Amino acid sequence: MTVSDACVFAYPLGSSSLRRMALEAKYLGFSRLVCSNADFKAATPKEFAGMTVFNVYGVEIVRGAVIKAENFKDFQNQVKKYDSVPIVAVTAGDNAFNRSVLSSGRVNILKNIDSAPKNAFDDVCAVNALEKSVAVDIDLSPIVRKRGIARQKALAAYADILKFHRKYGFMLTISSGARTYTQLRGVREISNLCSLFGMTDEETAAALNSVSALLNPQNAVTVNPSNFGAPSESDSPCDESAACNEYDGFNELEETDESDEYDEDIGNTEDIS
Amino acid sequence: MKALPPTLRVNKRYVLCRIVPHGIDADGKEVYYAVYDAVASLFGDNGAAEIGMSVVHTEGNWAIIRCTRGTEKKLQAAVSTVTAVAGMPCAIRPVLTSGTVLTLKEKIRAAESRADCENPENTESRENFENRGDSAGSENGAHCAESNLLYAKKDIIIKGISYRPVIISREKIDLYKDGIKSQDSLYYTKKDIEELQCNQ
Repeated sequence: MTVSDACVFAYPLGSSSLRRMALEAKYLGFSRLVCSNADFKAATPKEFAGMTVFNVYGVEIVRGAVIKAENFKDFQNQVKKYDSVPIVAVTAGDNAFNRSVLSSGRVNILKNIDSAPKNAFDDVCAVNALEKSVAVDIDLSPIVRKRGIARQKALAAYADILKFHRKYGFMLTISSGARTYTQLRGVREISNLCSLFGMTDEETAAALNSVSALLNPQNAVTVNPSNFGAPSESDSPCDESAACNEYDGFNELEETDESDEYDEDIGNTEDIS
Repeated sequence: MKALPPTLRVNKRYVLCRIVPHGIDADGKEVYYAVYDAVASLFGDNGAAEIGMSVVHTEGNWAIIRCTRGTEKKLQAAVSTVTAVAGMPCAIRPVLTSGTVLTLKEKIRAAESRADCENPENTESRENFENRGDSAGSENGAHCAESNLLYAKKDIIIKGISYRPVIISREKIDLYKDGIKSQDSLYYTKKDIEELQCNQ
């Protein structure tokens, strides 16, 4: 299992370098960080310049991007820039925007659902998220940093998302949104924080592992309809005979080996005599 | 009120917590206020009364917090939401839960001795950090910090701002900028500093 933090911001957006983040993440039990700096080049150590996935202190760093768009047209314009980015996240907006973004299939994560309007995520969004393998992000920073009604709203929003997740089965990701290494949270801490809105330990573990599924999506099996069901030339009925031949060949090989050994033995006896 | 007999007393659990970043030697009272604020904010007065937390011991970057048995997870969740102690931005990380304080104190000793074995300069560095905190910006503190950083003989300049490096462990180096109103800090590693110095 690869435990991942789905969104962190390293220096210059935050105050900790990417290496320091990785070092702390390793201590906290993570094996992957998604660094969502807009200027990823500035955050990347020089030895890994130009790479989107690399390993620092045993922690895999994956390049991510966060798109904040006003409308779907703006989103389409922005998403073109991030074709080579492995993890693309988009900030949630109103219901129509979320439906369009989820059905476009060009994003991996829907973020900031806690600050979206009340009915921003509904059953149609949930079905779209499942079909297009888009994960919904649970950002822990509102729970950790906010107080009072803002935190209550975030907890209520995450509880609603969890209900949809249980019914429709789309993926969830968990992110700390850390800008410094002190804002990173350990796996057990995340489990405790997620239990505040009713998430079980198993669900938390699955959510922490879901970045792997986003990076390596399981594509549906496609069948070419033109020759579907027709036997190909390679599938000849003489498979069994071929197998028998192979078996015979194997026996022959063994026999030759034995004969070689026998010859060697004879040779040895000759030498002795 | 008369004390309850031992059989009627509520069982307690003790949670060992680590305060990050290094160098924040918070007073027990300050830690208590920070954690109590977090507990009361997250679970309300009723929840806080149920948890019944109190800080029983602090030592360097470590704190031992007591709670009622069965509420450890609640306490750990609340502790995770602490973002500042006495106005200093920091995090409190729950490490271990035990039924006795003694076990946790032994764990602290073991962790401290392990850290000292890994980096003998660590103890000195921590003391220097304390000195630096008492006399921020003084020549003495700056000199000590510089003497620990063998390959950085002077302050490190990033984007035109001068930062004072302090070694935390074998890999970790914190950079501090002392200001009148606020103290800005950056968290780097040894390799990052070497990369920076190569560029300069």
